[in-house]
Amino acid sequence: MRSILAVTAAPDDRPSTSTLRVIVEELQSRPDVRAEIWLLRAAPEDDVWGSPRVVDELRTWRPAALLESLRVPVLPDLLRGLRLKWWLYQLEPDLVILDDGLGGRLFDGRPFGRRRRPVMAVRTNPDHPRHQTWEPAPLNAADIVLQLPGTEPGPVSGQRMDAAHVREYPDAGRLGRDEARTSTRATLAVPGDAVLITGWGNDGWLDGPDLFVRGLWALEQRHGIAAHGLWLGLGSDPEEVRRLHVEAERCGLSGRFHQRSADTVAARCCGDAAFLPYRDAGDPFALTEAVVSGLGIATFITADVHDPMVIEVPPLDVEAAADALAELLGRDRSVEAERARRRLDVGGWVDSLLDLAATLR
Amino acid sequence: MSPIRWRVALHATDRTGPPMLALALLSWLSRNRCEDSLSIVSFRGGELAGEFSRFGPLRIMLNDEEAWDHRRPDSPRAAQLMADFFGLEPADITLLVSVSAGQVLPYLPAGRDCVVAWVVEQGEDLHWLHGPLRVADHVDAWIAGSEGTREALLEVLGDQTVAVAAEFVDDWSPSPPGGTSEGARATFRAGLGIGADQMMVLGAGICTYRKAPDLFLETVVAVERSQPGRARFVWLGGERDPLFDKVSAEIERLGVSSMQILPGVAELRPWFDAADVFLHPARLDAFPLVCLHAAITGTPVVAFRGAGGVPEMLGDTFRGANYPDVAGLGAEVVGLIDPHQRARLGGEQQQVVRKRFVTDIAAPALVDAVMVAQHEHRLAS
Repeated sequence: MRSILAVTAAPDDRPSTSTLRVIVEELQSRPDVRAEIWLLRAAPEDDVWGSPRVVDELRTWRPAALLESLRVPVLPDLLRGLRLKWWLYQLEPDLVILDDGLGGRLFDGRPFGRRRRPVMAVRTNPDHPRHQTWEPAPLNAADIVLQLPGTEPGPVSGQRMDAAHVREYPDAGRLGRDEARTSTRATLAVPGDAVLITGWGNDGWLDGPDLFVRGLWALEQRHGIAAHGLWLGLGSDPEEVRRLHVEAERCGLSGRFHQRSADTVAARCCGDAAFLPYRDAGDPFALTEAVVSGLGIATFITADVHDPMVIEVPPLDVEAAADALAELLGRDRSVEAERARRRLDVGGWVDSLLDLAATLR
Repeated sequence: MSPIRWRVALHATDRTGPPMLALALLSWLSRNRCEDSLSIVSFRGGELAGEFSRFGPLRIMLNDEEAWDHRRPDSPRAAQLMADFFGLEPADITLLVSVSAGQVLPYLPAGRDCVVAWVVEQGEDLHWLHGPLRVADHVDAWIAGSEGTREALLEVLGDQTVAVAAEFVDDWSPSPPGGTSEGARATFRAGLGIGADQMMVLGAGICTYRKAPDLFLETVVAVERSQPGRARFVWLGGERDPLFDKVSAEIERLGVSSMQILPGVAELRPWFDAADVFLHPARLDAFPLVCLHAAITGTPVVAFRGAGGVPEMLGDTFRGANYPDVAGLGAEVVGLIDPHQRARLGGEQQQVVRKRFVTDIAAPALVDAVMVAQHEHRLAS
């Protein structure tokens, strides 16, 4: 049984709070893991965490408060410290996650209980929490830095793990498997046995479907890969769809360009690679979900998803996009899907975190 | 030779290709067939209306910005149009300059005139032939503005006789008296922030996907990648069209300082004189007059092959890449950074265009083709 403790300032509405919750829930769902969340300060208006321990409640803990009212010196703080140590003793965490790097003083850097010092992980965060009275723990004391986008923690002696897009992708892994993709292609009436490049978006300009078509052209001209293209979206714009078909024909892609209105995760993942020639950042969740399915993506804008399966090429450069697609098509999809799952899907990501913590212990 | 009553029909009197062609033709007719009478009818108006009315009575059907749906025309208004045009000047020949000029046909009085279509479009623009107007059913004879257009037309019409009479422009060269000196050219370019050691690449047209200012920008980006700072690019026109603002925003987003997109101008000549290269990245353009104008000025033209009539226009002197090879198009532009290459190519293309596509040579051929068509129509009826 492994014990994990996550400490956070207070529940709040920062987007990163939901990511931490997904991680803690995943830990709590595992039979061999005991995971607790401690709040530094109570936030009764927020019901994100159920009934966690609240460190700040030690201040008003009745026995200590009674001694304080009797003006007994030293003893109230000593009692509070003992109670905190009792809490820690009961849990005996192997791994402590300090959100925002806050709460480090609870551990004082000293061993406690009967066991060794836990592995200390600090999650960096670009947003400030509501309460800023705590001092973040110095990152160079962290064994693991869980990094969110927009943060550059500077010198870090510990291991870094990207925590930017960790969440649950319940369908992506399943839909990325060969049999599911074959079934989806049959449903969409696109060739099951051809190389298929997918792309998606509803804006005929910002999402660049015309560049998508020319990307297919470049893939054939420069790499000899006569792929089919499936664009998902634009269902409300038949004139745009007609224009794209004309463009595809002009580019010598007759019968190899398909458009479907249904922009679903199954449809996005049924390709062999994706080309997202965006002029404006797309939805990072859809992009990450596709990556978790094993789909390699060539794009002009990564939407802050920095992953080995996402290749960013210079804007408007369809030749570079074709090079990237050819490279992605040469990879083993099932291997890439498993790797992506461990990087991005919360289940795989937690596996990686626990493995790393065990190694460091 | 008995006098002919010409009715020249247009889709609009704006500054687009077919009205410009019609102006060149009317000008030639007025100079060379003084005994003929000329009248003009246009479905919509435009900024060239004043110029057209110099050659004869001009009748414009719709009011400015008036909405019109050919599938469901407003019945009272349609009846009014027919009444208005019932007393139109009689004609022996109604010459549609472009298929889209056929929009006037439902509202013209029935007559014994021979309706000749001078087709100068390809691709989607030919939809008028079989759309709700069924222009093809009302045309007595067909003339195509180029061989490529003839082939495109036959694909749509099937078994028909289609003559070819080339499109043309007035010969601009040599420079007009007091025309562009090197000093004036340098001043013009300096006003655009273009240095003496930089190549000025010009593009012009409306801002639609077909004319492709977006591909112009992509070519700019491709050239900048290989030869940063060596060329400056200017696109003129299309400020009322959907892609103008989009491409402008894209230039800003990408920080492409080497390209400007500017509103259209009434007089292109100084721009051609100032430019070193004319880049025409249209996705489809049957026989772009703007390329004729550029070539006749001696400004070398670079365009796509497989996207319309520029290769036919320039023959062996054509310079470009297969559609949609933007990188290839950019490489062709880069190949013209050398001023000697530019001068040689510009001279060669100028010679080709002067021999075949200037008004004094091509307009008589068109008029001959129309006369033949009218003669055959008379015999047939």
